[in-house]
Amino acid sequence: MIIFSIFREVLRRPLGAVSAGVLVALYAAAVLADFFAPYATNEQDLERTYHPPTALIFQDGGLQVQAYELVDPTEAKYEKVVGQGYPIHFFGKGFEYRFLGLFKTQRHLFTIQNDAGRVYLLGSDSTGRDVFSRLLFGSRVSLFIGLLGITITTTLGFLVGGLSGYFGGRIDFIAMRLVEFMMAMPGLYLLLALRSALAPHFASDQMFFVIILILSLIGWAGTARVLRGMTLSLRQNQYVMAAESMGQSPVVILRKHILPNLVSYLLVAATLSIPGYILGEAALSFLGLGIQEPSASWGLMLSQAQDVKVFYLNFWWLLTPGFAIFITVIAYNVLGDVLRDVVDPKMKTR
Amino acid sequence: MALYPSDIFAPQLQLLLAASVILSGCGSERQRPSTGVVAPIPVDALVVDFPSGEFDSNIVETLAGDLATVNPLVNETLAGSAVIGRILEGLITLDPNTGEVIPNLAKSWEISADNLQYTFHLRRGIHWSDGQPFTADDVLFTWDCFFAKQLDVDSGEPVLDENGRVKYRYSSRSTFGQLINGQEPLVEKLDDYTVRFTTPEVYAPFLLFGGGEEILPKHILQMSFDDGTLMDQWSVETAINEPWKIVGLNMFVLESYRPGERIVFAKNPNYWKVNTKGQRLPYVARVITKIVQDQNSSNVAFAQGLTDFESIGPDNVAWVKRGEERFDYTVLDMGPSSQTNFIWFNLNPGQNAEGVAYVEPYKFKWFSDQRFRQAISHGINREGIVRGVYFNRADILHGYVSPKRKLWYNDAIRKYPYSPETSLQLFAEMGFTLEAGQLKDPLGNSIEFSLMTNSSSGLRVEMATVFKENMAALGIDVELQFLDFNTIINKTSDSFDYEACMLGLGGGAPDPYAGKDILMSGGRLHQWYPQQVEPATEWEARIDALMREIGRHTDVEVRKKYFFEVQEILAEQQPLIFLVSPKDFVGYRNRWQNVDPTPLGGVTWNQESLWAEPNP
Amino acid sequence: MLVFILMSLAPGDFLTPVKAQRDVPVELIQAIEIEFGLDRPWYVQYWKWLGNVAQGNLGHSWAYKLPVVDLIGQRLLATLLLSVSAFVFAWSIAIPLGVLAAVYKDSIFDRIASALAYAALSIPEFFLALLFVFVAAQTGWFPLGGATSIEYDYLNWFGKVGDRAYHLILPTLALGIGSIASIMRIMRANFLDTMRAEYVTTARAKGLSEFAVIFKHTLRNAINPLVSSFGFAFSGLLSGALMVEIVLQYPGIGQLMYQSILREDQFVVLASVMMGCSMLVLGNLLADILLAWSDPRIRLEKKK
Repeated sequence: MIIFSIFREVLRRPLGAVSAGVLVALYAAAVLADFFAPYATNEQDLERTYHPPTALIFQDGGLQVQAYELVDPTEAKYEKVVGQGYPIHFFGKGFEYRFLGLFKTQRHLFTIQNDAGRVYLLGSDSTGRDVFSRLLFGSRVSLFIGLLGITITTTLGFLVGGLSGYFGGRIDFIAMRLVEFMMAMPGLYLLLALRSALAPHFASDQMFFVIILILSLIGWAGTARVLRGMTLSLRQNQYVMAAESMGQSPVVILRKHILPNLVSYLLVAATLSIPGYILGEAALSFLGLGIQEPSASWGLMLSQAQDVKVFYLNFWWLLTPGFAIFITVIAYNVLGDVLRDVVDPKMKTR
Repeated sequence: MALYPSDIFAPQLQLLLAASVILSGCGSERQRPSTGVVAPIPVDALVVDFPSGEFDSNIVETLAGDLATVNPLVNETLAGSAVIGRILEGLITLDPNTGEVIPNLAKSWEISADNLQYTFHLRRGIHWSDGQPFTADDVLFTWDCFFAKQLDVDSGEPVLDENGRVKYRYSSRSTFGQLINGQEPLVEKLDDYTVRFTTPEVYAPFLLFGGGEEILPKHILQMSFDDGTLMDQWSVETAINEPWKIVGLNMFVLESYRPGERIVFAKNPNYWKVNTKGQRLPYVARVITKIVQDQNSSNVAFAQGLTDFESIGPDNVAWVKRGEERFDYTVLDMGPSSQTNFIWFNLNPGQNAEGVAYVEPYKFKWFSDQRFRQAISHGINREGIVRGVYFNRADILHGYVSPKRKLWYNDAIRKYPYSPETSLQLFAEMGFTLEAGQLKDPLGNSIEFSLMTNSSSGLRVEMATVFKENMAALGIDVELQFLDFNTIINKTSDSFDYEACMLGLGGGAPDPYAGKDILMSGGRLHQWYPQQVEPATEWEARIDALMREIGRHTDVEVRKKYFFEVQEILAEQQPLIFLVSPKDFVGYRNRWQNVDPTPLGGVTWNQESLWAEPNP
Repeated sequence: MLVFILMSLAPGDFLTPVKAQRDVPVELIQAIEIEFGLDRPWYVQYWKWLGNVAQGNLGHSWAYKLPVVDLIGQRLLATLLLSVSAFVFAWSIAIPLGVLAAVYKDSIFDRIASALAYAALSIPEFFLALLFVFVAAQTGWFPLGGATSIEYDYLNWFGKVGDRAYHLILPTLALGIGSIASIMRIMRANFLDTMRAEYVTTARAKGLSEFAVIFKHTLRNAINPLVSSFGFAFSGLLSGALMVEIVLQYPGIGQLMYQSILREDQFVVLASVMMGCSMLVLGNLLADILLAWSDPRIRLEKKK
């Protein structure tokens, strides 16, 4: 199939390989979040709020986590207790979860047995929750919203764009006006307005899906337009004309001839629009209009970082979700570019 | 060229754009009439005993929140009170150190032997900010505004509502606040400078409450009182366009107001306090108040040396303190504050307009069981909250009265240390069981409820998150809702469409009777079930009776006895589950002299005596 | 209109929060109800709203107790100022960068610039703004937000301009950087395309100086596609401005809209969304005009 050959090409290029690798790693981490995370999303520790990342030391012949003590609670100042550490256990026991939703287990990649200490790879937040663990769990939201969202977008975009490109005439006219109207609206404004209008009708658990819904409603226009153009040009192809004259129904033509050729473009368009979703969800959650406390999502974690004291007291680790978003988005952008180069050398940016 | 869907808007668009450009340019205030008369220094001027200083400096400060009105009869917001409080004042005030009542506009008073009559002697020679004399007529007028009744057009008789109670023309907080057991005190003018109040029954806090009412200018507001537009006066419109119409007796007047941006006060040229040299106070020429979004922005401005006085949030003290050297200010710990935080459950058994109960019956059963509330209270990790959320700069609140109010604080009430085992015990007594980590009631319903709090307070959000985790440890699922403050007020006082809520109160006069709106079952602020016609439960009836006694007696020991019992009942019943009270921290720039911060008075109680080198 | 439908979706009579505020006299509420047809079905409401808008009456804001028009005026200007300055900033840096990158194609400069562009494109705007606030707090070199200082009204004209400019530095940077990236890349690509075009070779053959070749011919043609995307760029700026305004507390239309949504201040939300869209339309209009002006071919077509 075309898709496989495309991917092979992508992986042959260094940039493609790297970005694909990064994404695979990210998604693996998201799926296996329970395993990689030493603590559950909501595990608070009010004794250790705003704790800096715990240093790792070599002691007693093994890898250990540095022990800290709270020196000044009014400033959340912690200092290392020299010589004291807690051994890290790989594949040790931690909180219980279902591995891949299949079976219960308590094994995690790394934990510390000693309850007196904590291993905070990226520090802790305002209620003592481990930032690293939340980052992992939060990635589930951010990463999968993109995937779910583009399925809707590409479907919608294909339907509208493809149909209007194929049939032309009035359908095309109306559809294109609609598309232009959608593209004319400032995205974020519409996002907020939609969210505030739709939100009261849904419970907060369903918020996840509401957001996807909203984001896809906004995003499909661009894809539609591109696909329409493609369809238009494809339509002029000989075999399509032949099929038409042979009397094949439009649905069949669309399915057999046009769709396969569009697939590669669809792939490119999809990859390049995923970042939009990730950023959209992050923005919404950041504003407090998306995923709510106490679930984890990168945007939500960043909104905690907006507190003034975070800046002044230098709790820099609370900003790490931003970098996580950055890396994900860049990986997608690079991958998308490489894909595009592969699919259509004419569109290549030299 | 593509058809733009907004082509149809084009002409209106241009109009709008033009309009908005013009309007934004029109920021200048209208021409004010020449300033009023500056009267001579009053005979009875108060001589303030602080070292004298220089004139013409400016105070710069921030205000979180914005004005909705400048009319004290209408105002319901903190920001509004702050602004109005600069312009108006009352017959008495509180001593910043002892908290006792001391003279203000009234220079002295007598209370009759039967404790029913209060005769106030006003200071002579005081003039309003526009130069008109202040007399007893103004006091009478103010109280007229509170109690003016709606009169039937034909008969001239007072109009009655469906419960047989009189309807007031201009009902405000003061109207209800000053009713003593449903009756009005009698206000009489004895002469131009003497006013006598007669209370229908012995009412201990009258001096504090009645005397503390801000006096309104009769010569300005009389007309609108007569024609019925009193509540429309001193609106935001007036503040913007005709600020000179807002006349008061306090040390400042409103000079200008730009919504969302700033408020500027100018010195009242007719203020009635002088320094030991006989010079009219205040020293300060202007107060420039910048309007900011919330307390955090306010703290930030102070920490950068931009403002002069500030109240600092406990979580911000750490870093604000760091700027002390660089920006030349001082941060002080004022001890426990009067701010409280608490959680309550909706105990309103009524139904909404469609006949649906406010709270689902099976949940209502849990909420109304005292053991449920007690169990929840035991399940909250208050120490953790103090340490983690407030950086150790808060005190645990065991009950209604904060330890700051030393006189009235009952330490012997039942306390609720963090003890999930006790919670589970209490739940077991109620017949609840734990199934696979989920708590259930005898009917098999999972114990879960929603808690709402205001999204604008970061610390409340954190407390709510902690609460949720505490409850999860008990097997209870709590759904958190972060809403806008106004929405919350709506739900708790109008639609009653909620299950549990977390809010807090701040300020409040030191007299126990001040809490009557909260504690008495008919009170507006009786959060869990406000404005009851009859007390819903025995203990609420008992509290009502106790509160009446507190109002009725003047002997402190007697009042204390009753108030202690009130606190005990509240602690037993936990209608309000108290959490923590943040400590008070204030900051001021070192350039200010005569600063004398006290826990009760704050840092600007003696604003008239504060002075600094005039700004360049 | 879409906006209005959305607003109508919001549950409940939207005057409920108003009724909760006791100082609004009952007569006023009734008057407004009639004026805006709230007692009638939604299409009637919309019609009345349109009519009101035409007369310049955008309704009242409940949170601020002011007519919405007053409120929006200042904010609109603020946002415009920000968008324009970000725009100018971005374009004035991106175009030369793009040209240079194309001319010195595949050099170290080109590689670094492209890599940076990539990075800049991928950073979420609000995160960038957040980072800036962090820097500002740590160094104290920049104001932490707002458009003007407290003493603004007491500065002379010069001081006022300077004060506004000072407050605009961080927001402009945050907004502009993302734009720079995309514009630069497109510019570079277009430039390369046109450089290879025939008429360029012809011009060179004619012996024109390299300089003239670059500027007179290539640039003009390379810019065209860019200008046509002007409209979308503006839309992107507005959306981005919203996040930046919120993080940096810059009092523009975006921030107003956000706060109004939180407070359920319906009229203001309606109005701000409308304003936002209008600004966009304006942007597109401008773009079309510019395009027509800069590309003689289009003008010729019109004449025909």
